[in-house]
Amino acid sequence: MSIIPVQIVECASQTAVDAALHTDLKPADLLDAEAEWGPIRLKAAADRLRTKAPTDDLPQHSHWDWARKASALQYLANTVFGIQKDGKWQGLAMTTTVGHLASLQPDAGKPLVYIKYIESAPWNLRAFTKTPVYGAIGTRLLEAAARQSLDENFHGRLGLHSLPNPKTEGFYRRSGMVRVGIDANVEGLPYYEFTQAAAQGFLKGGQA
Amino acid sequence: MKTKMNNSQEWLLRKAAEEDNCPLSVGGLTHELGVRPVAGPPVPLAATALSKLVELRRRELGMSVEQLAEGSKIDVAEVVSIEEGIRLNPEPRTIYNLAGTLRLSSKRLMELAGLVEVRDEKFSRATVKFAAQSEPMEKLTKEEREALQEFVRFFAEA
Repeated sequence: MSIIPVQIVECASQTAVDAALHTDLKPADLLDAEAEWGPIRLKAAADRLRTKAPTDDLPQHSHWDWARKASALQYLANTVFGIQKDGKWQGLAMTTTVGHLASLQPDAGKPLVYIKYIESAPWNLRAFTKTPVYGAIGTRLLEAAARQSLDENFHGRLGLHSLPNPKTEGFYRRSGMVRVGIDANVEGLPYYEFTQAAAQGFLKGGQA
Repeated sequence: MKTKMNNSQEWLLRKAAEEDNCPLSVGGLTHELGVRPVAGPPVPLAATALSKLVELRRRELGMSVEQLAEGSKIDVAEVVSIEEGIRLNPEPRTIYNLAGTLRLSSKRLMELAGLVEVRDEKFSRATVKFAAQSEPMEKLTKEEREALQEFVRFFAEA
């Protein structure tokens, strides 16, 4: 297993802390994470009901029982990244290098890395807790996927379908991703893409 | 990984602030695995509630999976996949027929299946509460029966 030291942000102190990026997990590891994350999501939803707090900002995938998707996941040939800290998965992402091509010029039609799945642990999300534990999890996972694109000689080209959440879309835009448009072939989800130049700007730490 | 991860703390803190612990989304895998976002505001845990409702209501009415499938003119495999939560984007016809056999409001069941927009906050809350109940057992417990009956009332009111 390839493990790379990275830093993430501890929210309470607003300081960078050491963590580990695992780069060759198996799709089944998503299920292990779900076994830990799922009950926390359910409890958060139940707590909101008890306090009559709104539930409409919970992530749309919070109803998704991953454990029941095990058989489907086994057929997906993917790379899975995970960030580990305190012995727990803080966030996971799954990418593929087949089946998706760039749509933005100057590289339209060329291969890219496509992010199929990206998620942070519920204790790191404001939707589930007022005091998230760690931040920049999505940033690190997005960075890992963009670096995978460099390794594949795709020059940073990267694509993903975001669920239509304004905050999430804002994060991708501020990272330099371009909203290509609504993809009617994928449930009407907005499709975002990194061009070579935008990805390399993101990786170098420049302002998007 | 051939290139080094960015080790600038200034960059990391800035990106963390931009990300602001927002959900990152599941994205394209939802489509690949047959899960689609609903047209309107999402009902949290609706898919879980749908699979549990179909199974518990069937058992409450003393029906087998085969009887439910036959009565609804759909495949046994489809009933199983709905109850197991494997098929989360059933066809409108399937949901309409299931509602008839299970004696539930087809409008409400369509809402639960994500086929039409939900505008009722009370129903949305009831869905989350029902979905968050314990897993179904072989025989309905007193608590499960009460939870089912409470939720089913929404299907009579619609």
